[in-house]
Amino acid sequence: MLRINCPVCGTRDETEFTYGGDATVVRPAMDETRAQLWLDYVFNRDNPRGPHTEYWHHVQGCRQWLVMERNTLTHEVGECHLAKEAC
Amino acid sequence: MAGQRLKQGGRIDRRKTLNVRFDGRKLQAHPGDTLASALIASGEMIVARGFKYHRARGVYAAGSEDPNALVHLRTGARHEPNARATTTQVFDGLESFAQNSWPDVRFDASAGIGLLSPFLSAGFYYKTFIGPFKGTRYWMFCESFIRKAAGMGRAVKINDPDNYDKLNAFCDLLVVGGGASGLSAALTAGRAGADVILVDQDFEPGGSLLSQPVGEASDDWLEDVLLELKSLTNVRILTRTTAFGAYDEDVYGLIENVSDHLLAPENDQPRQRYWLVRSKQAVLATGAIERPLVFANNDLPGVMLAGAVQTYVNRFGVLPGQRIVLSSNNNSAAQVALHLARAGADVTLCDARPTLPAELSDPLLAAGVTLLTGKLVIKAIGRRKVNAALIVPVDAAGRATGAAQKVTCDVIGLSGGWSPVVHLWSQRFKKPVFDDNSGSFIPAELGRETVKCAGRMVAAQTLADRIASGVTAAQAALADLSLDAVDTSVPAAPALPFDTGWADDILPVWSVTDAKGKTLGKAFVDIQHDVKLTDIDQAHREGYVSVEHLKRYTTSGMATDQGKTSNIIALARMAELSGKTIPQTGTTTFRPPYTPVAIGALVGHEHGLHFTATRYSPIHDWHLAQGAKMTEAGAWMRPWYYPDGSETLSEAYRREAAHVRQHVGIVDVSTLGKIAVQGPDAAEFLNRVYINGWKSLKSGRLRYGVMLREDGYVMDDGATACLGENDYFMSTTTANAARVLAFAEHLLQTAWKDMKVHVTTVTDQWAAFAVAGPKARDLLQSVVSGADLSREAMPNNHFVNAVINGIPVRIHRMSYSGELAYEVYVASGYAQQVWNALHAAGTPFNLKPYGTEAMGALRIEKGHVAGPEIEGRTTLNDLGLNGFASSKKPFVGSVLRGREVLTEASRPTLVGLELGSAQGAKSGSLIYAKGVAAKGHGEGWVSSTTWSPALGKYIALALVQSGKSRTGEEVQVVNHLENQTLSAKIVSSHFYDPAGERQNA
Amino acid sequence: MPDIQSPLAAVRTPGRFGASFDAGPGITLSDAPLSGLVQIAGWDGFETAVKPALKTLGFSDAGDFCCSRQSGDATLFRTAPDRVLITGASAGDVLEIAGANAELAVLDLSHARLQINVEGRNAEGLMAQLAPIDFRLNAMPIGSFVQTGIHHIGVLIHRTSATRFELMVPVTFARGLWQFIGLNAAPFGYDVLEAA
Repeated sequence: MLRINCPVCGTRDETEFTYGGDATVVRPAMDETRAQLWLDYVFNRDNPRGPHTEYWHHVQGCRQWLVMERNTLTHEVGECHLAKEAC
Repeated sequence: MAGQRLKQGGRIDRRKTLNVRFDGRKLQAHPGDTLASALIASGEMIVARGFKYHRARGVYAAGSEDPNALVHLRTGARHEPNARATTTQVFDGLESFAQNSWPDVRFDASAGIGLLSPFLSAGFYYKTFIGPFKGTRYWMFCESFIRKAAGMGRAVKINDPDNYDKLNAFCDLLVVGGGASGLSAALTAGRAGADVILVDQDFEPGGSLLSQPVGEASDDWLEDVLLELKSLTNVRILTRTTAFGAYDEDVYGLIENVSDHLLAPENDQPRQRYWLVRSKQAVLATGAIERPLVFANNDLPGVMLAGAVQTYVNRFGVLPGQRIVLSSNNNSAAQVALHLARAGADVTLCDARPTLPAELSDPLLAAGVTLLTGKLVIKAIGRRKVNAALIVPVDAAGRATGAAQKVTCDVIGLSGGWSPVVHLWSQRFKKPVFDDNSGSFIPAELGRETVKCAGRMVAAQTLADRIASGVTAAQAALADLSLDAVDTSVPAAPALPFDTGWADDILPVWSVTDAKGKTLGKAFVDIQHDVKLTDIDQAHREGYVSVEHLKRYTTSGMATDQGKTSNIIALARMAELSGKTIPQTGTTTFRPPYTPVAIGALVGHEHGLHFTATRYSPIHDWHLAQGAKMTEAGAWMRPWYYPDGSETLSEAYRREAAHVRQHVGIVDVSTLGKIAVQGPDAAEFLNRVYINGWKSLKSGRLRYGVMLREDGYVMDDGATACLGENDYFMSTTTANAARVLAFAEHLLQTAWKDMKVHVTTVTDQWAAFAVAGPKARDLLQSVVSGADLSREAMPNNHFVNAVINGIPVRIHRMSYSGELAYEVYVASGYAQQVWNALHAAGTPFNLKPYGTEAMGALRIEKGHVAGPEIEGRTTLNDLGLNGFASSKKPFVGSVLRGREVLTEASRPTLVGLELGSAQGAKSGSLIYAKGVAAKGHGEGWVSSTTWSPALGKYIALALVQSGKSRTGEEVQVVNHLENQTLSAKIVSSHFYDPAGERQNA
Repeated sequence: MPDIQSPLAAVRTPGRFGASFDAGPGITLSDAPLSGLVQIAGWDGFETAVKPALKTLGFSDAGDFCCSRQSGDATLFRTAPDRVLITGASAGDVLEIAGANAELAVLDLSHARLQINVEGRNAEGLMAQLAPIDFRLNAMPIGSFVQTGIHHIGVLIHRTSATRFELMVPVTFARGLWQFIGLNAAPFGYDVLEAA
């Protein structure tokens, strides 16, 4: 089980969270019309072996979206901050 | 002769006799016994039958590693299969039964199956069930035969009457294993003030010390340590508790057998308790399991692990046999031989090593033990139990070098060294490494940041070493906890005879064969799964190299014991055959659980009604009181229909729906998702997430909106009210409420961080009722105060604040049924009062409640889409919702909805179907053009279906390829599951009142 | 206004249940509607923007994520960086002043939650069965609160004494959670009190 260090609630079981996928993708601006950029945002993902920056939603806690580093190889959890706070 | 109870000795209470039975026969059992010790004491040599060949099997070990003594416990609903007799603490009234045998474990009719053994060798399943035989009658035949013959316990199909609790625990230090090293670790950490949990799978802590004779110095040590540990309030000692899994982030799974040692749980206690422990540090002191030697007939009842024989004698006061041959390759059997001789047995110790040092041999000879050095047992002789051992001189590879001698005996005790229990460590980190010195796999490191290892688990040998390693491990853990070890002077190790361990001078022999390397008969590696040495050989011949493949091909190590006694032997054989070393061959991956875990324990209370959390409307009890039949809608319970007398569903919903169109009905829609959208940028936010425009929506107005997913498919729809400049009240479908909220939060917190908007669920705050029908306005106007509901004052898509019986409500004019309709929103704590007031006022208007089935019928008549249409694969165009989409602004999904695949002209689009038949279509039925063969996926499918009271016929909504252009076409509606073919006509999905005159009334 | 109707009306049976011990039941369960519950949310500068509204209730600031603040009958919980929850009969007093500030979003949630009280010498043990939280007193001191899940439902748990926890649960889930808590409380023995 992952234990995720929520900046608001402290370290909690992963059962309180939902996974939100790759956090390195950037949503295109609303007025962006090039389909390829939207396809990249919605569908195209790297599949890294090692550190992965990803979204987690503390859905049963403070309801904040978090950005967390997780090692896909070892499952080790690294730095975690609020998605709202640019890093 | 069979085993017998000694006159004295053992950690049992001879003054009390317990009523314990095996296959109906009364056993001699005392408190302190396990079922296995009681079986041996009662002369029950055959306790089980083999998995494949139904060979007689006896008790083999004294702990959870035993591959043989699996039994049924109890009867009726508490019946439990595959229980290990060796870890089952006896209790008064215990009934146990042999499994996988008929008619009796002692005379099993299937034992002749051994004659078929050539067909049941390695890879049998793979070879038989692929290739030419796959899917054939032969397959079926074999399967039925194998299912009956092979197997272990039988489950019951009665609900388990007991409760299982789940517990979340936190501690500074978890110590796994209550033997000498674990106790020492717990004491060291406990004295330093750490919050310690000590777990031991046995019902008594002490580990291997319990296998020392009663009254040895080790008893004093154990007593001192336990006394002090129990006095420390910061140390929790859990016995009958197995740490079965080690997980990421230092989370451990434990199963505590709270009531398994009782006939039934008492005083509302759970049967078992599942602990999830988050521990800052752990000391693994899990001990070691003795390793057998493999030879012909090594599964015969009477063949046991040497240490187990010692345990039965010293801990349970049971001598498993009078004449005992020990077959060993290391020093640890010497102590066993000495204790057995002292207990009165006639002991012969065969040792593979050519000579033994005098400090071992002299005391043994003095105790009357016969020593046969340079020799091992090559075959157990006997039909249903051991009556002799065939002993040969062997070389360093275990091959016979000379003539055999036969020694009469009733027990053969085996010691091939010991395997440290590295399971938890390996589950957590990586595969263990081979330690040449001890001939065993051990953890690659003694300590990791949060996990320390101690005792036999890291091949510590003498008692003093084991105690010291426990202290050291605890000190390391304390240092990482930033706690000081205040006192590390754990009581000094007591002196024990032959306290040598197994590592020094071990001769790594694993199997005993003739000069050519052949066994003299069936020689089992995995006794529980009936995997023979020759199966490993065969797998090697067939080219298997990887140990992971070997395991799956032969099924070695895949039974309920997970190969605790067998894995290393299979590896060693594989290494030998391939000319590699054991480290080169490697080991298989260790995975939880260490011992079998009952599903019930993992489930806890989350079953039946509480399988998931259930959600109830504030007026749920009213529905029940009215006799409503309820249905599940996601987590919610909703009234399905309100039968009048003995009405069926079909009769009731037709009546309810017709009533709405003629009079007025009321339906509980409190389940709708409700989200407060607040902030200066709320309108802009709505403008982005909905496909239609929101900037112009005035306070007091509502608007229907549709949302897409990022990929351009339709996600949800619903109405949103503008409560004020910065304050909107969004409603979602019942099913999508949580998804929409999380999506909105995601957008606001990750992409649109500058937008000043907050979204908050208010689903629980507000109850909602839809009042629909021609008399809806008259009814509401008669009961509300402070609001003018007239057509002029309040057209569709307006709302007004009002009061009903002194309670503030908000009334939305919005129709789902197609009738003149309103939604009444009220704070949920007042919902019942308002609902009652509406019913009281409704009597003159003939107000009736209606359920979800009638609600569905009404919306299908109107062609409104719902969950069956907004199902994740449909676009705006598919559903005829394109007209709502703004072309003046971008919105979520606005670019990707234009993808080629989403805009193909042939995509199935929403149509209506009129059935000409006396039967309705089933949802999911496929659509085929008239006259074509009904094969393949068809040209569309039925999504929603109902009887239409308004039209007097069965209708349906369907998605049909190029549907809009096919109006008037007759099609086939085929339900392949029930072989039903109906004829239908494609029509507009707006079946009833397409101009909307009724809702605008 | 009429009394707020409890979602537990049909399932709350006062009496003694579960295991029996010489020391009496280890748990007492009760429930009460929230006399008031208001959420105030904001954006950048929330802490400053919310101050005047909180001041009317006697709170000096928005508090922290770990511990509640008490002022008169009002209790303040900082539930997120840009949100607070206020309970108590006086909580509604902030609606007007906070509502007038465009930099704040105010919401009356007084019907959205029910308070379930878990009290008794085994309260900590029962809570450990319900939520994956460290309820040991040194980890969760009196006055601290957590937002977590019970049976996968988001709840706020407030520790008000060594042996008492107050759970704020969504009203539509309250009925099921109440029964679920009862099942978990049975091994300790528990009393159910009359409706408040």
